[in-house]
Amino acid sequence: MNTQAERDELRSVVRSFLESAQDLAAVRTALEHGHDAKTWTRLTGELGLGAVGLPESHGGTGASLGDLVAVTEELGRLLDPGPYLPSLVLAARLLTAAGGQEDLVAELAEGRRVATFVAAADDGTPLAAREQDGALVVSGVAPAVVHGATADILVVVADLDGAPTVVLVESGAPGVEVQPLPAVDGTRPLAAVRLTDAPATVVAAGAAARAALAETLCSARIALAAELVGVAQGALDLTTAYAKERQQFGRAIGSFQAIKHRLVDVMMEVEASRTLVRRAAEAVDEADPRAEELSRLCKAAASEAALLAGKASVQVHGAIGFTWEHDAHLFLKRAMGASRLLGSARDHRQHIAALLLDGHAATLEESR
Amino acid sequence: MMKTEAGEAFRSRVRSFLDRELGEGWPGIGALTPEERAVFRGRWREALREERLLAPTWPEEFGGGGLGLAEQAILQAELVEAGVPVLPLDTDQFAFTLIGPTLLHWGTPEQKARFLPRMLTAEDRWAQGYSEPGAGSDLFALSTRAVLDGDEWVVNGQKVWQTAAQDANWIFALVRTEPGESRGRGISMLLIPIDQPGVEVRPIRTITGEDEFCEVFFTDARTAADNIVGPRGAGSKVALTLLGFERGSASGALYAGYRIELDRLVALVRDRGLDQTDWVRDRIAQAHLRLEMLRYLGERNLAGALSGAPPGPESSIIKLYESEYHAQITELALELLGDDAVAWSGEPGVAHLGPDPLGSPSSPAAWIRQFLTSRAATIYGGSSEIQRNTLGEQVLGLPREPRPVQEAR
Ligand SMILES: Cc1cc2nc3c(=O)[nH]c(=O)nc-3n(C[C@H](O)[C@H](O)[C@H](O)COP(=O)(O)OP(=O)(O)OC[C@H]3O[C@@H](n4cnc5c(N)ncnc54)[C@H](O)[C@@H]3O)c2cc1C
Repeated sequence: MNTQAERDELRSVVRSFLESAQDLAAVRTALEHGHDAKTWTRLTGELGLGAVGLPESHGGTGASLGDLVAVTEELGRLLDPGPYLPSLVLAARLLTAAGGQEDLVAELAEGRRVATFVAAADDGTPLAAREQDGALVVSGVAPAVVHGATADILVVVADLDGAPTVVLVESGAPGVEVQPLPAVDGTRPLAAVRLTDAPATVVAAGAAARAALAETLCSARIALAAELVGVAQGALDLTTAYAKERQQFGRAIGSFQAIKHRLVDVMMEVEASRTLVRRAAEAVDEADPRAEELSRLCKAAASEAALLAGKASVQVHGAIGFTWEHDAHLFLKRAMGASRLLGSARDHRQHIAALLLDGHAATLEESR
Repeated sequence: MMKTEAGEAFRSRVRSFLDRELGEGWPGIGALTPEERAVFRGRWREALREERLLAPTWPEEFGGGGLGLAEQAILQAELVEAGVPVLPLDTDQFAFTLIGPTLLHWGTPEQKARFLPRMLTAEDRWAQGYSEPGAGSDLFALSTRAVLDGDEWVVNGQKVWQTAAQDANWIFALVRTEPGESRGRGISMLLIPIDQPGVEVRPIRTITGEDEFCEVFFTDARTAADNIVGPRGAGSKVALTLLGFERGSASGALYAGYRIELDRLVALVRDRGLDQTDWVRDRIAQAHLRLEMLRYLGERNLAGALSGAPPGPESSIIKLYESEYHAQITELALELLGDDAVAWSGEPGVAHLGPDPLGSPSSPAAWIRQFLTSRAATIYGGSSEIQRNTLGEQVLGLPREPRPVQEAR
């Protein structure tokens, strides 16, 4: 596992690459044309950032969530439109946790293929699998799949005779229908995926699949929370700079307390969420039994921090912040999308309430 | 927090000390009657002092424990979890987190030798004389003055809001000593004995109807010329170092105290059959989330202090977070109590400020009192508005507000 100093180094690698290769103008291009494939392969393959946090057995740099959150926070800060979340945080980690699939995971890490995670809901609610002529087929609808139209391969959660199962489906296979959605957050495309007896190969089944899914969702919540912290920080930086520069009534608007205090409130939530994200990642890396709970806490906190930051950004910019041309809305919309992915703040608070008020047993059961 | 072997060894030392002193079945100080509590505080303070845990980080030559910040944090957490006070007397916070550390930093060898041991024995009990009727948030607008008359300072003016001054026999005060200088520049910090004809202390009833703080009048009050901390005219600098101590010192107790309080609130939810009510579940989960955030901010702050990093924005963030968290949690308590939140019924609470300790009642009276007393922390020690100014200017680098005219340089 890396030290905080090494993580800061990792962070600056991501930051300087994205700042030079993919500024917000380039992110805007992605709104219309999808992410730039070349930037993606440079980020993953050339810089090796796709391998961060994956075990060495799968071509990774070592299984450390603490490293991964350093990367995803920076991706969020610069609104990276690439498929890092679905391909590397969800699919690759689920395959790794389910066992085997070393080659495919390595290909994902190098950016040579892109995968996404498919379930009836992003809490892992399964689609339906059955045997047909000695082979496995999957059917069902996943209403909003992240990068569903970009992915070459679908990592699907399905139910086979009452047992949870993780299966692979090629996106070009018969019975796979992908319908892009008009996503609010254009930096992260969504698609509805309908499977009709699509041919599938099993990766893991039963208890192993259930454990792999729980582990993956736990880590993914934390990685996405880190991204949201980055989004919030990006919005805050943009807004703070504007508040120092924009003059009204003969002085910078940032000297007005109504503005200053609002930005401080955003900063407090960003700092507190970042602290919680790092603690949650540490809990996963140390196999702390509180990891599951902390993953929900940090996702709830970071979701709200990013929304707070996005809304403040629009308000503090005034009318320019209400324009398409200005970047404030990119941050707000990324926050709107990511805060709902993998469970909203309210969803996670419901789980936490169950933990606190209905006794620990139910929640521990669930996290197995 | 990273656990270390030395830290865990110290923790077991504290635990066996607690077992020895408290015995089986100790319910927490909150469960005692007011009379029992008064007796217990005295006895408990003696036990802490003998064990050299009353001023754990002070050098041993002055009666301290010679321990580090990490041990202090462990000690505070263990004491709070066990339901015993870290600083038993109301005046102790001023001695041990404010003027004591300030003397260790700025004091002469004679001042240290004279004052520090007497804080431990409680022969000297301290109050903080900063605020004045005309100087609150704008502290350096203060106008109490002192002039040197032979080998004594002669002090005239008025201080206000002095916590526990009715129990104190010394006050450390910011006063103007350098005529002609304005604002922060002509101020010195003096140590002034209270038991003298020139000092009058009048308690002020607070929002809960109790005597928590006082006003203090100086009329030709006297103190020895060498009872000045730091150089003449350096009082504002001395005061600012002291505010730094105020911020960093209680991080160990922070989480433990609020966790006990939240557990009490969860029990109240169950007792009142509200545990399956949606809005209650959401608010309790939110409270738990905010408390965990506070916990890890505190740990990060401590880790920073242990690594010798200069104090970052964490301490101001924690002050704001903590005070607002406590205000919110007590609001939630009153919402849960519903119509029972209109009368002082049941056993009263225990703490003057901050969450009630282990064993305290969970009655309407106790929660109403907590709701009211929690209003204070967003006012004292730099109000929430002042903290936001400071954070906005020092961390975000936003332009300063227009300054008062007197300060234009
Ligand atoms: C329970 C309690 C115990 C105390 N104990 C002590 C003690 O032991 N010793 C001691 O010396 N003092 C003590 N104090 C006093 C405390 O330090 C002051 O109350 C504090 O500094 C605020 O000053 P003030 O009350 O005069 O309010 P003011 O400064 O008059 O503030 C009134 C309101 O205006 C706001 N405000 C002021 N300036 C600004 C600004 N620039 N921008 C935006 N808003 C602003 C404040 O936030 C506040 O909401 C205590 C106070 C309390 C409540």
